Amino acid sequence: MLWLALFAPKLPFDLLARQGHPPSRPAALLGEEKGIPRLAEVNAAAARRGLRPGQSLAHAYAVVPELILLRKDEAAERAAFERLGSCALGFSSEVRLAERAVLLEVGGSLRLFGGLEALGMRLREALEPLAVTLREGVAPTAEAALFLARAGGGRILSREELKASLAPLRLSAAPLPSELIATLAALGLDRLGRLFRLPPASLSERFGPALLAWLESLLGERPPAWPRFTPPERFQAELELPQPAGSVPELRFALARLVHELEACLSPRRLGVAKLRLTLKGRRSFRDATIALRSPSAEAKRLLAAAEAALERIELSEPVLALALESGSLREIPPLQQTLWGPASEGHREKLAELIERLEQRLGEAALYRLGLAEDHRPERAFRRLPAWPEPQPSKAALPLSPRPAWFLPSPRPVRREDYELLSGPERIESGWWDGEEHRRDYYRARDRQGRECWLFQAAEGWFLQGFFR
Amino acid sequence: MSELPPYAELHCLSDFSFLRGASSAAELFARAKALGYSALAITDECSLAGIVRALEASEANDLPLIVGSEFRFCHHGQPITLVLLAASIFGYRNLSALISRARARQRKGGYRIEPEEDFSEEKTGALIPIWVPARGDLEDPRWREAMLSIGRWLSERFPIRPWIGAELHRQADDEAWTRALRWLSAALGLRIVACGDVHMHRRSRRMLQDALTAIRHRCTLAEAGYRLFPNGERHLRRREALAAIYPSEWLKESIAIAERCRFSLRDLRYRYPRELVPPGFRSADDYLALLTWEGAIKRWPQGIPEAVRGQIEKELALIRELGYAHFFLTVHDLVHFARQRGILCQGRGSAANSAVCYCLGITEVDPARMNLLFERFISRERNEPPDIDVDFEHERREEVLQYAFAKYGRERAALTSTVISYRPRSAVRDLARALGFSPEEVARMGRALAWTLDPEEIPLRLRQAGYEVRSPPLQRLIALAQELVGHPRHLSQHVGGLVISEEPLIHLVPIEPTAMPGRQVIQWDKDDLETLGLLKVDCLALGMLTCLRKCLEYLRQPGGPRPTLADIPPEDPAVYAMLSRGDSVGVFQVESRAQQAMLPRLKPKNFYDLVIEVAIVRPGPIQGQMVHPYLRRRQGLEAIEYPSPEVRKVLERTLGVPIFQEQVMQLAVVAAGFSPGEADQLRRSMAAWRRRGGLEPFRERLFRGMAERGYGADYAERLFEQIRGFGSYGFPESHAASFALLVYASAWLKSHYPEAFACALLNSQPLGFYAPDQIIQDARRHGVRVLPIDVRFSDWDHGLEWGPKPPPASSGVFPDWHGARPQLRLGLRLVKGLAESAARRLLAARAEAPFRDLADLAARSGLDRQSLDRLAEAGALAGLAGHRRRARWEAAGLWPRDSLFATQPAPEHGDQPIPPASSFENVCADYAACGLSLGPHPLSFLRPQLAARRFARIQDALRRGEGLVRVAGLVRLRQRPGTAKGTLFLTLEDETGWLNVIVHPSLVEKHRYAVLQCPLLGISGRLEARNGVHHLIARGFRPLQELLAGLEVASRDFH
Repeated sequence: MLWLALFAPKLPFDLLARQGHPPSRPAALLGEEKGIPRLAEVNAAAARRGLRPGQSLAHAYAVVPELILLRKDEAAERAAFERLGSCALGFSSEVRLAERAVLLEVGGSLRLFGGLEALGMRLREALEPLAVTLREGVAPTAEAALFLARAGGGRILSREELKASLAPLRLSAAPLPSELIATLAALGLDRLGRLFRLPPASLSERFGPALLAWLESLLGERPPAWPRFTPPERFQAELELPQPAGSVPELRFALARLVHELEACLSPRRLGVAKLRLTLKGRRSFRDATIALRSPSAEAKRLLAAAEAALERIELSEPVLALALESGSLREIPPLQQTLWGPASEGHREKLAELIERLEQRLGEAALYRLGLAEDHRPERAFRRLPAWPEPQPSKAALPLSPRPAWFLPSPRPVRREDYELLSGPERIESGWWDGEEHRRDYYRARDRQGRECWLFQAAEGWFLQGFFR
Repeated sequence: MSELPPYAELHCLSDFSFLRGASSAAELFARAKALGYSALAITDECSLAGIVRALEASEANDLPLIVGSEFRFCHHGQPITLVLLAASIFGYRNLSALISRARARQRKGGYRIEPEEDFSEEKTGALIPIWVPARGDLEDPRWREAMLSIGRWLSERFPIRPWIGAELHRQADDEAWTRALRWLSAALGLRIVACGDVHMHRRSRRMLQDALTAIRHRCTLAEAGYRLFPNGERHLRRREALAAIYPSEWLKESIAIAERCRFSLRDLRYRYPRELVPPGFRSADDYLALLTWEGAIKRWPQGIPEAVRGQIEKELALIRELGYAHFFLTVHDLVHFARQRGILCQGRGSAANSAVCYCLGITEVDPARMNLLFERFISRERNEPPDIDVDFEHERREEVLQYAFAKYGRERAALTSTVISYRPRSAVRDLARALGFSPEEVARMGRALAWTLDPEEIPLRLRQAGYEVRSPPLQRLIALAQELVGHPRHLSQHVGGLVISEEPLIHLVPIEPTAMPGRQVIQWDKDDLETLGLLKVDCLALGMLTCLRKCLEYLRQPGGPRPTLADIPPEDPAVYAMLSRGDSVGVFQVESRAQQAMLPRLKPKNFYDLVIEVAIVRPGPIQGQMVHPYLRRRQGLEAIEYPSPEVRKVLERTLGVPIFQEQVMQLAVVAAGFSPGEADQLRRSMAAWRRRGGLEPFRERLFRGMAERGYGADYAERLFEQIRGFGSYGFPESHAASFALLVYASAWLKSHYPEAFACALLNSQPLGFYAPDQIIQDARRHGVRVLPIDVRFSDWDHGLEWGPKPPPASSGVFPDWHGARPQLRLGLRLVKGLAESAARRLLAARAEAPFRDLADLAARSGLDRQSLDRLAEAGALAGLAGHRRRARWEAAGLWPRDSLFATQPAPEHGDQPIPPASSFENVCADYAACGLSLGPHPLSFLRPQLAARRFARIQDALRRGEGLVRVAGLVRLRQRPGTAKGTLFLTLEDETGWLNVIVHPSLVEKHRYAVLQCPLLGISGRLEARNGVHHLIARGFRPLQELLAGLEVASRDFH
């Protein structure tokens, strides 16, 4: 048995760089201690300016006013590791995920790849598009490999050397609670060798079973505790843009990164996809494009070409804040001729999905959306557009306080007051000053020359028609 | 052309309906007057907290005020909004009582109405109810049913027939609602009155009002949705607009109601509790006179001097004339109680430092010692209560308050409240959140505005923090913030203004619960009380009094009495010599960095010099005009001249420079012809300029008066600038005198009994300018021997330990320690993370029998693992278990981790080698565990490395004198006073002493990390000395924190 551990020491900052932020900008991860926000980790640029973990946020801003502050994003970290794990499965049949680390049992793959060096190199090449800084540790036990990776890297190649090689190492990198490490340090027990010398029973009595279990696991007297990694059934990744993108060319970089990540996750395992959904997320609405391939593939070049073509067809109605890529189910290569929405559709949801698909293909994706409620005194903002698929959660918004017409003009049209007979009003609406779209209007129900019941308003600029009641 | 119907607004919220009303009473009244309203009711939600300000606004604008309050509650499942107006003083009482009841049911800030209980027959008299029905559909029979039942219920409960309040705000269904109201009125036989539901004085305030709504709901404006009002109609509308919206009978009805309200707050009468005068006395004056003369005899057992006798008689006559005998009896009652319980206390204030108060024991300032102004005592012109604050020991002040509550009852005694208003920082933070800025942005803006007091500075500070202040979102934020500053946010407990009265207080003002149990406050603050002429006594907490009491207790000789402050011999030259050296760590009021720099320059030689010393170090621009001329004249470097003999009389005792607040007042009187009453107005404007309108109105009066009396224009200009500079910072002479007593007492004790003083100081923490670490260092430098924490000997508190031979008894009150001096034993309270309860258990076990060993200690004191660890870390187990690490190892082995049988020591498995820690590690551990160390100073370990980098020891640098130096030290103090224009002051400490460093603002910006953060700093610069005081003017910085690895030394930061 030989284990390779890959530890990600700078994960939050790698995720930041993934989005496109330059690493020269000081950044820090936010943590909390007893209710006070504090820095949990800092990147190199921030450390150079004097920031350290444990400092309070207020102090940090005093010293580095332009600091970028990150929140711990469990979902993004998990997703990043799933990608790493998926890729790793192309090099080993046993992959496990630990805290911020991927562990591969490589003893069985050494012959296939031509030795440890060669395997290591090819693994790194494959992982590169995933853009996570990794430190490597190799040891006969998984726990020891992980410890080496956390402690800065290193290799122990045989079981006989294990104990002796571990002895001089400091405990600070151990995956143990920090209070325990501090207690041991206060007793002068800061290196593994000293711990090895003490009788196990007295250790467990004084410090609890966790410490002893870890030591045993290090030396291979206990099996690794982490579960085996099973890869997800689809590829799903999202990327937030550093600045909102106003035009399609600005999205290329992010798209390319996502597609390369897909390749990194799937091609080592010889898997591919035949359908992709690309989603552009704005503040108020999403835009989707579906990419269908004749045959499943994971080739970045091919997928990127198809994706860019799909991207060209999309019309942006507002700046894009994030990009998401989701695949259909994973298929082995060579491909099988098969449509993704299989013939066995049952139930209302499937039919609805099909209907939406067909309409989208006929009318274009931009033509289809759902309406949702929003609470806003401004009538035009009292609803919002939602994508046709997936089905949204039921909204908690309330209905407007007064009756509203069913039909709204796309935008209010100036009219002449004489053409209308006022029936009731005014209903005065003065709201919305906080986002730059202030309304100061007096609304009236009115009847027009054709006898239709309309909704008019009078603003500083004159009279306008907003919509129709019937 | 018909005339507009007259109108009185009867449903209006001021900004004292916190986070609902967006305009102040002053704004509302000015606007209502301009619009030609006949009257304005202020009806804050379940509150009368803002009613006195409303009264002031009403009188200033000559528009009648109607007192009322709004309540929202549910009855029979229906929400009800009810406005109650006070028709007479009887109605006012009912209103105040109702508010108190409703607030008592909820915790601080909320209220709950129990309709059946609150509106029973005897509680609703003389209240005019206006019911504002909730909108509904006239066609809905359930709605009709519900409205009828509410209307009937209200008509039953209130002797005055309710009105229906019609509120129309240009909603879509206003016409339908008008019809519904008419129907309701006809069906119930109730009349309709037009109301505004006013939340602001002008429509343009609606942005702020929306923002307040979002803040109240803790959401952003975008998320607030329909919780915001749809439009800005809820303002004081023009009468033309009202006439267009409401039928004129409804408008006229408001006048009919207003005419029925004949209550004014000026009608409120206040009487003192009768308990103050024991039976058998004709009047309070007689009783006061008796106590005064009795006290005088005690003060002057050899006979009362003629001058004093005359003074006492004059004062008693004035007290009798103005009717203030009860007030003095109240203060005397509290002080007497405290003295009986051995609680140290002291009165201060102009009235406190009078002969009468000296006789009553309220103050210790001997009137013979000081030439005090008599006119300031109580001015005949001022229709105002005398001003006395009483300081009590901070640890025992609560006893005095509870005594008052117990003696007079919770109904008749309560504390005043304070209005916490929005400042620039809090305004920007709350508004930024409401406008949708992220929490990180909010934190950042808050940081940029720390210590900003002037709303005009907001754009500047935000720009400095990197914000683009011209962008629309920031423009909105800044505009709103500037509007919001000064508006109230919530009520809080005043530091200790106590009000007691004969009738239940709720007849005067509602009472609210506070966050602290056992306390309640009235809804008014001390300015409100002053406006209405009600009296209060400020009961303040002073940490130094606790410290002095403890010190005196330690000096009590066995079997003897406890020495009192009065026993301290006055005018001891050793004390003044010590202070003149700037050796004042721990001494009351004069220990700060600024004071330590001032003392060697001023060199106090007598008591009055101390009075000046206390007052002379103040923030504010008066420094330049006050301090430097005074010092120069004192040193004979400048001639003293007076423009006139009148001015000379006022300023002679301070060498021609105005230093005390009273002197400024007197100058206004003698030089500008102000009457004493006007001078007092000026004083109040100086102190509360924000509320009472600033000093500009006085400027002209001052100039004119001085010109008339022949003073030059530039002298007038200087005087006005001085007045402005004094602002709210000027120190009254009487306060300074009372404080000077404590300065002298604490300095005397420090000088003669440094062990006892340090012990008392440490046991009264938190207190003063310095951390325990620095107090102990200072004590050791003065020769005090300090013993470490030891579970075999230490108490919870620090204590004094005597050797085998205690000192001989001395004949005086104070002990004689020349032969033998005690040592200071540090107490268990220093151990971080050790609970007092755990320590007490340990002490109880030890009292039964000394500890044999660690296992014995653990077994008998029942300490848990964590407490034992803490003690081990602090080195307190050294006597029982050896060095720190061994102690921890042994403690850890005392019981198996998860076992229930905690007293069985684990069987040892052979000999475990645990090496001892190095000295440096020990010192680090000391700091981590206790915040201080008795071992060598941390820097003594680093000296070789510092010397290699060419940093000198502080002592060596000082000895070399002025010139360029390089020193390094731990940063123990950072100060950036707002008045120093961005200059930062640091204190460096090494194993040889301290050094104060001055950092120019431009350097602060360039070396932010070094100056604001770095714990170990090397500094190069120019050392300057003046009058024996050294300062380092910094030029360059070298952060050295990497040398410290492992050591955490805290610094005190005052930014």
